Amino acid sequence: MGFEMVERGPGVGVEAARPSSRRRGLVIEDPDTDLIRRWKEGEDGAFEQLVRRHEQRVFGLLMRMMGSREEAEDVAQDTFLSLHRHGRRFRGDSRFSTFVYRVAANAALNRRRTLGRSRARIEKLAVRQAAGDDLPYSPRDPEDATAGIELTSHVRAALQKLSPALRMPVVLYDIEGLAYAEIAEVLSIAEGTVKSRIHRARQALRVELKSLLGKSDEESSL
Amino acid sequence: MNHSDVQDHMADYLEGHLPLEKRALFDAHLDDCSNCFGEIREVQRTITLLRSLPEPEVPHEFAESVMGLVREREDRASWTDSLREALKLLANPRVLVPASVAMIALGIIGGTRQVQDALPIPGSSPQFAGQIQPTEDSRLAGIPAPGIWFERAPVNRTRRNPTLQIRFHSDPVLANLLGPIRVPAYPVAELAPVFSRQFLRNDGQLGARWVADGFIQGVSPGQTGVLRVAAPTQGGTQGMNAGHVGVGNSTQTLPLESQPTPDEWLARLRRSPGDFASLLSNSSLAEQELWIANLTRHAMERGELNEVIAALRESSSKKANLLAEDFAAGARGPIADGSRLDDPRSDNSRIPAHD
Repeated sequence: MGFEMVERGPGVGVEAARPSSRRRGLVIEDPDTDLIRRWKEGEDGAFEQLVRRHEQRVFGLLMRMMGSREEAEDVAQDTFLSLHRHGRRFRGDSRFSTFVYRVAANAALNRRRTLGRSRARIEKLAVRQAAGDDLPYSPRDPEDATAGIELTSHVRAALQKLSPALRMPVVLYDIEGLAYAEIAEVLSIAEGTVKSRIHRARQALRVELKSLLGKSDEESSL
Repeated sequence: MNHSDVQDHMADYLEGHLPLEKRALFDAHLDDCSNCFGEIREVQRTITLLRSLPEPEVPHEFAESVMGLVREREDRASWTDSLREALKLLANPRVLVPASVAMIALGIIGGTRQVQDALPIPGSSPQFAGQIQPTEDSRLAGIPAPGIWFERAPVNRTRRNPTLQIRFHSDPVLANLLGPIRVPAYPVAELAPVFSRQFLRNDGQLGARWVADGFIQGVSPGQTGVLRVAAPTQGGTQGMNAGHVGVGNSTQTLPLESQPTPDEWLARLRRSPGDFASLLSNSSLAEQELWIANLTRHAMERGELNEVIAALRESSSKKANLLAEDFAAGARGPIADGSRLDDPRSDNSRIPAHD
């Protein structure tokens, strides 16, 4: 197993490794503008194309947030239905993708608020996983079936232990690659709050994954 | 630079956003402080691990399933959508929702205790007050003039239908006001959402229970009933033309007696936990909250909570298993009122819940 260990120093490579090519502060024309216009004009299929264009990011975010593939699919459907119902009101003040993230984030947080209030629920998921149910840490993805499954499972489990308020910003930043400003817009919180939550989330994850980090340290030094 | 500074600037350092001068100071501190050096390295690795997570695979034909749902929904009558959406908004307090295409009938049935059992949980769950907005038509039907809580709604001259507005309160002060307040004309009704499916199975109607808080149309204080919201009809083919809206429209009344009592619900839950959980999962989130809270309280009063939880846990239904934990959580403390964003797991001090 092995993953790149970044040495200390300016830049340390973390930013360069961010999954998105988006650059902060740059105003880029929204690639969805044309589709949104056609959708508003009533063109059949325009909304479906928007769904296809955004399904990966919505499902990715919701998988990280909900933990369960089943629930993520459920909430992803709710997200797009909600978009279909209200999305025509989108006025282009932000990128459509930001708007999509916002709807998905709200759907996820609302769902968890109601159904995820029990600590035992998380434990229950683990039990169901052990039983081979359709669960977050079941090796469903082809990638998971490789040697990285243990690592992946640990990281996913650690993410699930974070409160949604911390998990959402760190997922949006470190995994989905959004900028601080975008996350602030998605979650309707101040940019400074976004940064502090990401910092706290990383610290909590660091503690949670400590044993793993130590192990990988040894491996990486080989 | 000290350890606290390192904490403050760690994110900027990791991303190369620190000005040159500060970065030099940061590096100098790392040279001298093995703790900070170790911590920075661990955070870097944590970030690398996060970014190494494989991208989840989108469910097969996901877009098709979404579009199928979209088309299905478009086929349904728009008024039910509006109203269902309004009920869903219980999770967002202080929302004023006009369901402008709804027509209201008030079916008044004698009071029973079961409605009391279904009333909101003090201080925990969202409460809302239903307000009937009289229009010319409703006044024709004998519905009293508005009181202080009732504003005149614009008359929909096309449909000539009354308007239902639902105001949600999470504010404890406002919520408390809803109980004792006396309104000269219409009573402020305390409404608790019920399974919309129960009503949907009868002419596709939605409804909510209410309790009278004053004399109205022959109903004494404390009496209970069912507030009915019926589909608007242009031509009155269902006997619901605007001019006929009002109290005692028997064709639109769902007898309260036909609703199971809380005891019956508990019995049904214990008999078929999977079916119950499945039924509950089809309700709105707010409805689920209220039902779980009410039934938890009811089961506790009857001393049956453990049996209920056990029945749910032992069920082969995943939904029932999860519901068991919701009941258990409800028994441990107030049901989440929507203000708790954090997962209970965050209660530990390692992950602060607030900024």
